[in-house]
Amino acid sequence: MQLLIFIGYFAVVFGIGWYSLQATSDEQDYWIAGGELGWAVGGATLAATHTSAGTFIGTIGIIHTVGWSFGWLVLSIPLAYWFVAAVLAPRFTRVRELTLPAFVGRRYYSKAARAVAAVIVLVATVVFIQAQVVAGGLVANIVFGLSTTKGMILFTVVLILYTVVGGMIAVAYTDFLQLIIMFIGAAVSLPLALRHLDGLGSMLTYAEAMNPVTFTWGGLPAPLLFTMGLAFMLGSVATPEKVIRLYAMKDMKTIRRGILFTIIIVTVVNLVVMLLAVGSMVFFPQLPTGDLAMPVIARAVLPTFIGGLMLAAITSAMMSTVDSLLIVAGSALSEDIYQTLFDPDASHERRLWVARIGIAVVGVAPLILILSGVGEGELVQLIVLLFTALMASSFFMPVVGGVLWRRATKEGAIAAMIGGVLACGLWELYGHPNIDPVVPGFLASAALFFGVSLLTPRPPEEALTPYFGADEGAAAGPVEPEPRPG
Amino acid sequence: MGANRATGPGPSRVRPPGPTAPVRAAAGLLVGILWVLLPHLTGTVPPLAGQEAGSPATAGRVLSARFEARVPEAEPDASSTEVTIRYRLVADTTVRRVPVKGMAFFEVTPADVRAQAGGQRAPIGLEVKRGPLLAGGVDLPTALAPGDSLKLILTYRLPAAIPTTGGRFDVVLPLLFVDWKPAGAPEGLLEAAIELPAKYSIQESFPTVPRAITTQRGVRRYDLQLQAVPSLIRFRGHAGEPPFFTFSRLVDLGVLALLGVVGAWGWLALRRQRARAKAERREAAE
Repeated sequence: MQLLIFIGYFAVVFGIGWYSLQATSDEQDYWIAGGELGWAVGGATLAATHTSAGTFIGTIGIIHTVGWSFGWLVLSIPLAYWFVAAVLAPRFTRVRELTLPAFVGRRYYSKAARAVAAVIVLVATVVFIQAQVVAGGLVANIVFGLSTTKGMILFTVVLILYTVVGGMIAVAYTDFLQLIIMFIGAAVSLPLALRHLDGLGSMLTYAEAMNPVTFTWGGLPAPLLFTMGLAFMLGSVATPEKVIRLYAMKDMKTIRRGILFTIIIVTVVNLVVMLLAVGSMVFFPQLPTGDLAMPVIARAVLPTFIGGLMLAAITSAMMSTVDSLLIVAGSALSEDIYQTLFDPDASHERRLWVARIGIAVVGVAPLILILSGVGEGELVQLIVLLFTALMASSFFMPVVGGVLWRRATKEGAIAAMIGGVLACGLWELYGHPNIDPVVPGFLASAALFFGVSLLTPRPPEEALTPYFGADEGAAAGPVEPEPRPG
Repeated sequence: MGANRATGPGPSRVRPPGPTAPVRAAAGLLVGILWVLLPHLTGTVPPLAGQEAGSPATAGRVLSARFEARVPEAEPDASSTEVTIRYRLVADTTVRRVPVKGMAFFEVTPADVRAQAGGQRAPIGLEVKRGPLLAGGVDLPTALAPGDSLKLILTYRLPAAIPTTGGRFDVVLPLLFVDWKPAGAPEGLLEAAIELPAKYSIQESFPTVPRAITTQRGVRRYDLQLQAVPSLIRFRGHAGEPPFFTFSRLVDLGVLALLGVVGAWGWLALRRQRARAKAERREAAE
């Protein structure tokens, strides 16, 4: 039965991919859905990207392991999205780009800056997709009884196929569908779990008895917990697959509404997920890995149909995140590296094919790494956090500083990106494990951004005009959609 | 249209000058550095409390669990449910005592707990630890060396089905579980067979995954499989024939209806959008 539900679900997803292929007429359609998304679909696609395997597999997995102290990180999410809506989006979206590196290239009047951003995006994407591929294997293990390895291969193949075919229109509409199913699944799971334990009060009592760490701060060292929160907050502002969605929405009013929608959805889903995680500690005190908690809950707590659907939703959460990242990676390769560095006059068709090849390569690389034993067996949420820290360390300063500080120069931005990502990576390798690598990464990035910018010549006025131009006051107003080519 | 908006996708309007070769070299160098760091990065995630990455968190692992329970009719004064759980375990270190835990859900507490390890009777001690939690262990007659496997059988009694209002009943079966992680999550890690009087109909259960329901000689048997060992099995039902619309089916149908409505709304919205786009194209062509 669950197999049938999965087949039915993925038939619908591929249908959407096919429909989107028909609707894709140019690059704008492929990369940013024509920039025509309304607040509901736009907000949902942002929320679905945020609510990845990191939430449905990773958050539950960590809380199952260390208790609910990890849940405070959820509080950083509304703050991050408020910052995006109030501070970043009004200027960031004044010029609609197709990719984040394109923004870096325009703001910092530099092909080099654009290429550096693209390379960081490409490589860091592999880290994040690894987490999702691991989670995909775990779900396939529970649903189909496949080995985790075969599950990971199946997951990767399905994902690459529909992303390569449909591009961002497919991603946006499947995100919307996926979010609805995730939301319904989570909303139904919790009352059913509570019903089996006779209510919230007794569930909390049993959870505390089962694991005394559950409601204490003892599961994770306090400095690590705090700095992980910082990573989440900065990362939520600066990760390319999220900020690029600002370009996919129609105008500033739509963006604000969409982000409010995102905050509501993501917060509710995370609160439900936290409670489900506590329930999973009671129902299944011993699991081979905490990351299996949600798939097992979906199978054991929910009725057959909604249980299958919930597992499809978990898979959806992962897919919506990976497809978004693949889109970002594909665009980084074709627009920011191939066209910028190698073939400025490349035709639309050629660039799309470069992107599709890039998507396939970046999609397969994490699977190969895991099958080679790299990163195997890690908790999903910790891999997600590492990606978030890398993104925050490299992009937060160039993106946010770029639209707020006129004096920021290309040299400063390049130094911030490279220095941030290297400091973050080196801390992950050799630093103290109780401090999240976002701290040294972000500090290095900020110091280099300001220091190098002040030491280098001011940026030319034409590079600043789009973001700090005479119509600065219009930033809070609507951003008109640009005409569709053709 | 905003004054500063680009007029189309593609390369930036402010086309920066600059040599391409150094840029290519720098990009290549950065790719190289990151590519070398990447495998190290993903392999260094720190272990968490209770989860030592890459190494066994406990002294041994659970390979499988077979649960059997025979629930008598709802006469709590005299009758009781007999429970047997057969564990297959493997030791990762030298093991002299196998840790066992259980939760007294809804004040249903296992009684007369006995243990058999490797075919021999073994002493078991369980104490109330924190609130409803029982914890203790089985002292093994012979210590296990790393890699040794063990068959551990736990038997205990529980109260019979608890009658509630209106001919309904509630069967609560707490599991005494070995406090080791399972080796994996294969199909059938837990296989459970629960027998109830045939006149009882189940409307709701945890876990919700019965594999087969058979009725023979006045006994209805529920077989279920799960890829994890739960701390509880619970049935709710009533005496008499089962209704078609059980609680689970009602939930499923409700969700199906909701998805149908959302799907129809989405389809209509897409059609409207397509029609609008067509009209715009026609206008533009004219």
